[in-house]
Order: sequence, then C-alpha cells, then structure tokens
Amino acid sequence: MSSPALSLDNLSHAYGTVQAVAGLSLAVTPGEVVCLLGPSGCGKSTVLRLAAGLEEVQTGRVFINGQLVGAPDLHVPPEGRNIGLVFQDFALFPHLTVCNNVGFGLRMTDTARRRERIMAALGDVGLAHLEQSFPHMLSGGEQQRTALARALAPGPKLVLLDEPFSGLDTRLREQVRDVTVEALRKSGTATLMVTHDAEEAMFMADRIAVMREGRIVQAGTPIDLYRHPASLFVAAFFGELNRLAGTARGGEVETRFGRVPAALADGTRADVVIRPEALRVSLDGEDSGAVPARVVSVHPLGRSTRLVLALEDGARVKARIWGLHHPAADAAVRLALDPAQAFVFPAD
Amino acid sequence: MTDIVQPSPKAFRRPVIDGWTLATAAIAGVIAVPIFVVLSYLLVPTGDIWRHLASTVLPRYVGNTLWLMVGVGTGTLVIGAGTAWLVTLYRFPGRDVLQWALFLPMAVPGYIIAYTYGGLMDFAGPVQSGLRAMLGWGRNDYWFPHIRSLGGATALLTLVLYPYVYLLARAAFTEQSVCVLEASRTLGAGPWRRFFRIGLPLARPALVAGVALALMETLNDLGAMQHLAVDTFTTGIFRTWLGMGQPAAAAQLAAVLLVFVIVLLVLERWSRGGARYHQTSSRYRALPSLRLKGIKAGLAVAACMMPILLGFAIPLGVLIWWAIRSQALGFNARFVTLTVNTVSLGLLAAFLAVLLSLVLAYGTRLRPTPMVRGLTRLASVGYAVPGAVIAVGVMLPFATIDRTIDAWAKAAFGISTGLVLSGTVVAVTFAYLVRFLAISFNAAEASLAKVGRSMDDAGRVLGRHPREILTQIHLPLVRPSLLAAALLVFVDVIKELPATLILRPFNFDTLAIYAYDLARNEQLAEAAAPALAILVAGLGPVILLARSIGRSRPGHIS
Repeated sequence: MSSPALSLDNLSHAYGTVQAVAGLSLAVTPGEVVCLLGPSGCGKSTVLRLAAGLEEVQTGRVFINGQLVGAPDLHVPPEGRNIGLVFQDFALFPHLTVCNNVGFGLRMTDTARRRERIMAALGDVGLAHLEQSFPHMLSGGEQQRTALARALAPGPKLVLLDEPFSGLDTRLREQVRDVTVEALRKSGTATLMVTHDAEEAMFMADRIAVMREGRIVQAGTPIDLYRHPASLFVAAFFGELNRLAGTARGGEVETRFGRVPAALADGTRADVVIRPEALRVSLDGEDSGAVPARVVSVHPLGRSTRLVLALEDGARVKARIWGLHHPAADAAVRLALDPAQAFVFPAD
Repeated sequence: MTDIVQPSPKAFRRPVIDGWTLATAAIAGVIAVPIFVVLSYLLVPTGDIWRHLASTVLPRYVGNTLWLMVGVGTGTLVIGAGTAWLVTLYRFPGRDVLQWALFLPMAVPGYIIAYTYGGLMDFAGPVQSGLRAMLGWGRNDYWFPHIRSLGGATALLTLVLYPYVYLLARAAFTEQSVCVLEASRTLGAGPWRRFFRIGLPLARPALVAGVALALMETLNDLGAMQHLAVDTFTTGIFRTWLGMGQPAAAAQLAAVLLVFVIVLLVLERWSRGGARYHQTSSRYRALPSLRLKGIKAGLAVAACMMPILLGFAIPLGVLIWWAIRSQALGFNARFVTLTVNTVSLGLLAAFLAVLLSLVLAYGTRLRPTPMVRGLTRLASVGYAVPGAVIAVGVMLPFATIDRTIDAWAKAAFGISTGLVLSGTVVAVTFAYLVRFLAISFNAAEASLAKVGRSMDDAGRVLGRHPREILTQIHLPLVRPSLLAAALLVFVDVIKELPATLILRPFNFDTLAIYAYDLARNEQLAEAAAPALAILVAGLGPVILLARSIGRSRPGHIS
C-alpha cells in the first residue's frame, strides 16, 4: 500500500490567543493536486507552513511519505523534508541568476548533471532562454515560473504552493496557470496549493478542501463542491448567490419561485440559495408559469450577461444569461427556477 | 493514515534553547558587563569617598557638565535645524554642495578643534598677536574672549557636533509631507511662520534625537575639556582614576555620569517612539524648493558657510599650516608605527564588531523572543555611554580576573601570569566593542530586515541550514551595508580618545594618543600630523553620508 505523500492528522495551531488551525486532517496522494480554499485569515497558510516545517507542530501530526516529520515533540526542520515550496512573493534570491536560483536546491557535485537538471526544470516552464538573467530583469510571470522550476528541480515528492498566482495580473494568471498545471502533472509530484480564489482552485485541483476558521468544512472534487455545497459558506465561495428566506414544511420550502425540496424538520427556518445562472429568464408572455419581474440593470460581461431584476414585491434578484443577447433595461420578463440548482440550508 | 508511526531518520527532539539564541545571549551579556559593573557602584556604599567628592569637586563637575549640555544642546539645535531647513526648503547658489558639506565638521573630533582654536586664539597665538601688532596694544589694553573657558568649550563642541542634529533634521524635513507645507502657504503662512508652526513641530522627534546624540558626544569628550581646562565628569573620572589612583571613586563618578546618559537615552527613545506618527508617503516627491534671490540668497549662503568654515575649514587650515611649518612635518618613523597601531586596532575592532553584530542580528531574526530582544537592546546602549565610563567598567572586572588567574597560576605552577586581559589589546578592543557595537548592529539589523522573510524559508525548504542561509543568501545581500558599518566603526575607533587613554597596553600608542600627548605638552605644531591623519580618516563617514543623500532622493540632485 502506498502511503500518501502528505498526511496531516488532527492539526491544531495557535498564535498566542488566536487559533489559526483547529483539528484539521487532510491527505494528499502522489500525483494529486489538492487545493486548500478559504478566505484570508482562515488558517490555510499556517497549514502550509506546518507541512513545510516552517512552523513547529503544536498539536497533531504531520507525515510525509509515511514518515512522521512533525509532532509536538518532534520536528524535522524544513531542510530535512525534501519538499518544494512556491512562495506568494516568489522569494527568488536577487543576487543569483535564474540558473543558480533553480540550482540552489540541488546538492549534486557533478556540474554536468547539475546543469542538465537545471535546464530540464527551466525547459518544463519554458524559460530555458533566460538562464543567465537576474530576477529583477524578469516579468512577474517569468519570476513565478522560475520559482516553480526552483521548487521542482530537486524532484520533491511534495510541492506546496502558497497563493502562487496572486502576484500576477488577471491576463497573465491564466497563462501561467496552464504552465504550472502542466509542469506539476509532468513531475508526478503531490501538490498542496493554498488559495482564496475559487475559480483558480477549480481550475487547478483534483480535490478542493474548503477551510473556515481553522477547519475543513467540506472537501471533494470541484464539481462536487459546486453542485452540492454543504453549507451557505461553501456555496457563497463559488460565486454570487440569491438568498431567499423560508420555512420548511413537509420536506419542502415554499419560495417565490415555487417549492424546493428540503431535508429539514417542519418549522425549521431555512435559507434557499440560488445561483444567478439557475434562474431562467424569458420575455414576458413566453412562460406563463414563471414569476414576473422587471429588469433593473444590465451588465454585459462578454461571455455572459448579468441582470439585476426586481420582483413584483420589490425584492431584487440577480440572474446570469449566456451570450450578449439580453433584454433591455426596464423590460418586463419572467423568471423560472431550476430546482436542481437551488440549495437549502438551515438559517444561521 | 499509516498506523505505524515511523519517525523520519532526520527528526530530532526540539532543544530547549538553540545555538543561535545561546550565542546571541552570550554576546549581548558579555557586552553589557561593563555597564552593569559601573551601575553597581551606585549601590556600593563607599561613604568617605563619596562625601569627599561631594564636598570638593562634584558641584563643579555637575555645574560645568550641565551648562555644557545646555549650551551645546541649544547651539547644535539652532545651527543644525536652521541649516537643514534652509537647504531642504530653499534654493540658493551652492546649495547642492553645501547640503553635504555641512556634514564636514563631523570629521573633526572635539579634541582636534580644541587644539587648533586653542593655538589660534591663545595670548601668544596668531590672532591676538596680530591684533596687538596691528593696533599697538599691550597685554592689558584689551579684552579678548578666553577660549579656555566653559563658553569656549561650548562653542567649539557645538561647531563639530551640530551635524548630528543637521543629519536627522534634514531627513525629517525631507520626509515631511509637501502637501502640509503647501497647504500652509495657501493659508497665507509666511516663511518664518511655516518654520516655527509646521516644520519644527513635525520634526520635533528627529530634533530631540539629534540633540540627544550631540549631548552623548559632549559627555564623552575628554580631550577638548582637558585642553580647554573645563572640569566635567569625564575629565574628573580620568583624573580620579589615573591621577589620584582611586578606582572606586572614579567608578562612582562614572555611575553618576551614567545616570545622565540614561536620562538622555530615555529622552531619545521617547522621541523616536513619536516619530512613527508622521510617516509620510511623499518620499520621492521633489520638494518645492523656493528660489532665494539677492540679499536673502547671500544670507542663506553665509548661514550655511559659517559652520563649515568655523567647524571644518579653519581647523583643517590651521593643521595644514602647522604641519608645513614644523620642519620634520611630524611624518616620521614614530608616526608610521602609530599609524600601523591605530589602523590595526581599528581593523580588529571593526571586523569583530561586524562579525558579532551579524550573529546578534541573525540570532534575533531567527528567534525574536522578548529575552533576546531585551539583551540585544542592552548590548547596544554602549553608544550612549562615555568612553571613560566604559573604560572604568572594563578595567575593574578585567583587573579582578587577572588577579585571580595570577594567584591561581602562582599557587598551581609557581609562575606569575601577570596581566592577561587588562592593559592588553584585549581590554581596549573590548571597550571599543562595547561602545561601537550599536553602530554595526543597527546596520546589520536594518539591512537584514530588508531581506524578506520568505528568503529564509525558501532557503530552508531547498535544503539549507540556517548557517548556510546566512552565508549563501544574507551575506551577499547585506555585504555593502556591513562594509559601510565597518568603516564607521573603524573611523570611530581611530578618533576615540578616553577609553584608549585608560586601557591601552603600556607603550602602545595610537595617533589620537600621540596628538593628545603632544597637545598636553603644548607642542601643538607637532600634533598636526596625527591630527590631520585622524581628520582625513573622519572624512570617510562624511563621504558615505553624502552618497546616501544622493541615492535617497533620485531626481532631486540638480
């Protein structure tokens, strides 16, 4: 049986009186990319630092490739863990060339083999032509790729990424993300990445673990989390929501858009959560069963168009429709709900 | 999850205290010893000595020292803040040269300006002789300000110490928000009102810190006060120790002086705490320098030229004149030996100071525990403590250790080891470290702080030990700052007089001691050669300062 590349067992960590991590367990198997997703301050960076050995374990255990490397009385320093870490600010050594940065983690004395490894790592991220440059001469994207090559060059079994794309502008981010995923897949390493960007997590991850206040509140494949969020918090993390209040009765909650199935006891107050894309918008008269509404504002976003609509009682809802064809502002429309995309949670 | 817990072979039990913390604590603890030794004399009852001191010399020491502090404090504040305001806010001919030339008097140690003016202004000196010859006066026909007086000493120290205030005031005025000053102009405030109502209050923390530094140097001065016959605590300590051979009494005086210093330190700390409030973002915005014309420009030039002329050009001129006039020029074989001695001491102290500072700063960076922070702060108060006080604090424990070793060696092997520590290069180098470690420590800490923490993390994840990270990542990055710090320590050691005088090995003289001895014997012309050498060395830090000014405000130098 192969052991997970990284296994975190019931980790808790506090800075003074602030509890950063509270009883967290997580495993990453070889070749898998796992994203820790959460708002800033939820403790996800602390988990990464504990895994790397940059923080000493207070409670719980850290295993790398089946070996215990961190426990309250036991600490393998980062230099003894053979892992790769890509920092948010890249942390390239400013006095070393790209080539020497990437070679920094290589402990081989054979210069020919060393150079071969460096060039291979740089080739994987498409930077072979920049080996003699210094970090300050590189663009943000090139710096990020150098940092990735540096982390991968020693051939670690585990790579940790700390918000690796947050320093890049949006346009560059997508391009660098492609290179990163490809290089990680090629190396076959296990990857644990930390991010606050749900879209990024969905793009990169085989599995996502959503963190809140030091705990994992839900873990699963990106599609799982998107389609079956276990809480309002998780649902809200993956995008804008319409939130309707209601009360459970007979396994259902009555909303403006009709009944939605709910596994809640009778009388429980509930939040019905609807993604904007779950509302079907049709022109007035086409869909007599639907709820009448009036278009308040229209925001064409390119691939889709976001609408803000007012219901007859004045309540506002948001809807998203594909393409650029959309009703004009102030137009009368009808709204219908896809019940499969509505989620019901007990109210806070 | 695997059930069998198999610890990694590289795992270790966490030590209670790691090597870096231990090294940091050890260095800081040893450096702080002299200060504690002196402080302990506040508590040691020495009844008779103290009563004797209090009834004889103490009132004079206290009086002179306080008047000196008031005078030098006021003088440096007026000259330093005034010239700093002129060169930062106004444009006038020669401003770009003047703004760094105003640092030049910093290169002149107090005793050297005292020797030059002492020779220049004495009854037999060229000024009075010239006046007498020109006007036909006799000895009692005129009044002439007496340079060998409290007033003379105050004036001369002010002339070489105002750059401390100028340095910090200039930085503070430069960082002041341009908007605030422009707003005050639109509100109709004139230049004087702007200076007193906006500029000065905003720069107050920097000014207090600058004056505190100048006063610490004032308390440290020995050579100038002796030459000008002004009795202060420092000259008192020296006389009581070497002249009267009463170490305990000297230590008591040193302890009282240390209290003065602690007051200054608290004042400085407090003012620096306030400095945080007015950080502004306008660092690189060109200041709206107002162009001065005509008589106003002339007055501004004169105001900035005067301190440079009096505090630097005249002493330098006098020294060159003396050096040329004295036939042997003073540059003889003895001069070469002394230069070698001085440079060796300076290099040794500078090297050790930078090395220890690096360990201290890196140790603090690795484990910034309250204990480590407190210890390093303690180790860096030495810069405020007068050399004579440190000398006393070094001499007392070293002499005790020497006696102990000697007694033990005699008992065990029947041989006398003599002096191992006191009266050797060890003692004087240690005193330099106590006094100047803060300079290199602050530089090391500041430059290490600029290296992002993720650099350390990256290095460790890539398999390097903290020791290797220091040598392979930090050291290359902070090397320029460390070299600059080494230069500062080197020059300060070369200029240092009181501690060297008390602690140097027998027959081991430095340039400063040589100049001091010659001046004591009124062989001022012969003292010119060593004094000139010290002054030229002192130009090193001035050049560093001038360069850092050029760098800190790109686009502002025209």
